[in-house]
Amino acid sequence: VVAALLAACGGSPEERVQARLASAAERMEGYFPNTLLVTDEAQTVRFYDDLVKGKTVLINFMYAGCQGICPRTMGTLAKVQEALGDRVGRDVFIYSLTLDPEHDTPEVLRRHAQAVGAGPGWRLLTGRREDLEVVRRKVGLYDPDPAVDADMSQHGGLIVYGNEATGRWSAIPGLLQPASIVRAVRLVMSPAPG
Amino acid sequence: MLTRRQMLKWGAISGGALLVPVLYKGRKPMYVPSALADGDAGDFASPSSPAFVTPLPIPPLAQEVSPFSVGAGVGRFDDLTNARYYKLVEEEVQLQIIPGLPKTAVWRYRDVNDTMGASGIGPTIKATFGNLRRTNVVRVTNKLPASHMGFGVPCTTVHHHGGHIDAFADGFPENRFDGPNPLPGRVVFVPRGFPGLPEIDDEPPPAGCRECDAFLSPDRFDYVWGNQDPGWRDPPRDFFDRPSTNWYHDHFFDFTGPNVYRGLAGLIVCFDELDNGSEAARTVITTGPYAGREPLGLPSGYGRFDIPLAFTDKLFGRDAQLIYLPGNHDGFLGDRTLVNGAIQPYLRVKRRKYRFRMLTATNARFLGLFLTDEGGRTYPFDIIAHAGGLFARTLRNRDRLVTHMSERDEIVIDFSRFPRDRDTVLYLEDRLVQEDGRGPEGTNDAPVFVSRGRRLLKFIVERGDVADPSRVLDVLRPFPAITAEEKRQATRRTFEFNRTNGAWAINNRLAELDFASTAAQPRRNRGEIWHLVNKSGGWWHPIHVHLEFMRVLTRNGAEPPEEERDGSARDDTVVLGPNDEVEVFFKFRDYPGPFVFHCHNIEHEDMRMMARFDVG
Repeated sequence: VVAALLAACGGSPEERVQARLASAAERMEGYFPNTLLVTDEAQTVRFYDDLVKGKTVLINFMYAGCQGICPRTMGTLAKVQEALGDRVGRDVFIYSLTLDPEHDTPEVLRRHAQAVGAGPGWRLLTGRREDLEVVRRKVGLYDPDPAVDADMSQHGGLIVYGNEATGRWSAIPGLLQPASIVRAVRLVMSPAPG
Repeated sequence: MLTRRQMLKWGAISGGALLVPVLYKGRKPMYVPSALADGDAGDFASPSSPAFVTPLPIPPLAQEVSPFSVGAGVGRFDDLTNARYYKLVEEEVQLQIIPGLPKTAVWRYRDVNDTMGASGIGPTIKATFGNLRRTNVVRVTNKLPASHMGFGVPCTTVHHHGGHIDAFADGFPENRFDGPNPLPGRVVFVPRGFPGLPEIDDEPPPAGCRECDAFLSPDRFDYVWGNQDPGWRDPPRDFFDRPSTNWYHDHFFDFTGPNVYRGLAGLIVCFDELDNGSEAARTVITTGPYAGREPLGLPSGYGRFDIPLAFTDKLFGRDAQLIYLPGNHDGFLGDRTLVNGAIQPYLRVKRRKYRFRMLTATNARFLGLFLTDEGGRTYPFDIIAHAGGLFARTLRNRDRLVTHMSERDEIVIDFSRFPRDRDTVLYLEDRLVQEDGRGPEGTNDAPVFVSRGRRLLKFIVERGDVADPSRVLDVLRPFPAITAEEKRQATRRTFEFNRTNGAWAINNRLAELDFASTAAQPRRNRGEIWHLVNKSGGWWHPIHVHLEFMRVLTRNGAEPPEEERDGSARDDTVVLGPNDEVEVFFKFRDYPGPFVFHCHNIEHEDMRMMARFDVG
């Protein structure tokens, strides 16, 4: 870190950018936990290392039994997945984390993933409730009013999106038109790889 | 009622001299500027910084450059004869903000003539109205790093906040220049009712940057700010609707919060024949609407007795880099409120009157400012203006000023009351209690103060006598209140500002990226009464409407206080405290849309509490 900071204060523009790149990644590593989660394909994954590091991601919270805003948000994400094409699964990933891990087993999520049309770059995730809560707070998807926050039916309909490699993060309401979300996400995506 | 933890927190940040170590509990003992959300707000604290060792920086006045030809369609409504031309760049620079620590990377506007490069707030642009009117043409070139890392995006659009100006120069959040093959949903700046004026087109943005529809590095745009009195197209002109202090800041869609927080803000100081910037002038005005009056004679001399104070709220990491939490949609608070880009600066003053033009350029922090001494005693001052320009009459001997994001407030402090035989130390102190982005404790009518707050600025009043030709008259810029007949004829609309699944909405609608639909289409020169309602529980929303000043008619069904009441004040942003309902009057004139109105808690704005309106 010290070396990175020293480099950030001097050196060529290239060195400064590289130093910031290195420190940006390290910063996020310190911020995002490596919480173990389980995918709809029953794979155990580490949140930071496996899901977020070096990638552009879209993250939302939902649950399979949700009759409120989830169906619309998931439908919107399906259209976003389609619009972003083959970038999804290469350097862009979509993660839908459950608010109801007791009910949403990997098997339930597998069926739900099929129902919403999730492709290879879109994973639905469950895990221990306390682990999911840590991630939820880390990405900012909580309400400051504890009563509202505890009410699953009022849960935040935001999609957090960001590019971990560049440290560029934001969030957007999932109730917007898919085109609005696609345009916003493109602002943080890196140029097409290859 | 404050909890003990809140009290401790408040105490820890209130003393100024108290040293607060960086806390980042249970995780890496390093700064985390890429953090998304605080989760536990106690996790972050700026490193200590010595108090009152830095002189107050004064942002330089932008210097005129030779006239240049502006882009097609730009300045379509405004007379460019005798215009003032300025060139600014947007850039990233390293500034020494915390002594003894590394420099801080900030974004800022810089005047191309300014090679000093030391200011943390953009250059101040002078604007003149009425008999002194000249158009301002400001070319802004984006030189922000395209490979920028971290929060914010190097795509920008410049909003002239408080301006009565062409939509094209207003900094519309999607001021897009797509070239000949526009993306779907493009906002087309074709003025309705103006046949023959060119549709706005510009060079296509660089390849691969089609998503950045505001101008991108190294793009530039020419902003033409006409400084004309409202009603110039269809007189009578409302000459009293002249601003006093405005500001300019980034307004890029979804990213205004981080971009402004990085530093993209600057002041505009306004003058006319009445408020002419000359405190000694007593020559009676002979022409125009103020014929027969003497100039006001307010304390003058930019940076001498007419002092800008721009407040910004920052949170620093241990290496002095800015921390922002893009996952915080409640409203971002820093723990250091800077004045003109400096932490706890000082200002030496003479025993005479000073005019202070204050700009609250915070993202989500409200301020409750008092003039205090070492012992905590408070002293009164006169309030002469806020966002809508000079008040009709001076508000005398106020002991506090409660203000909100985007507001400009002007006060005159008469330091001659302090001892002539010794120096006196005073502070500008923020005593308002605010724990998170929802807003301050209490209500708009009864905010909660602490007895000892955060000292933001120190005044050292120098002993001895000086001449003071300035004055503060009782009558400043009077104007007629809206008549009962005008209210009766006005078109009425209701806008409810509410929260929907973690996002912010107006009448349950979120601003779509394409702004394809409008929330209102007011007719030109027709009165409008907007009923602004906040039913979102404990949240505060300062609502800013572009293009025209508003008149505040009622607050919660009753007559508003003098600071905002029609007949006393005009405004461009009205505060909705928890469960407030406010009625405001507009008459949109001269310029067709599109414009926007939005919450000026910038995180709420970015989370889509914004809507488009077109004037037809």
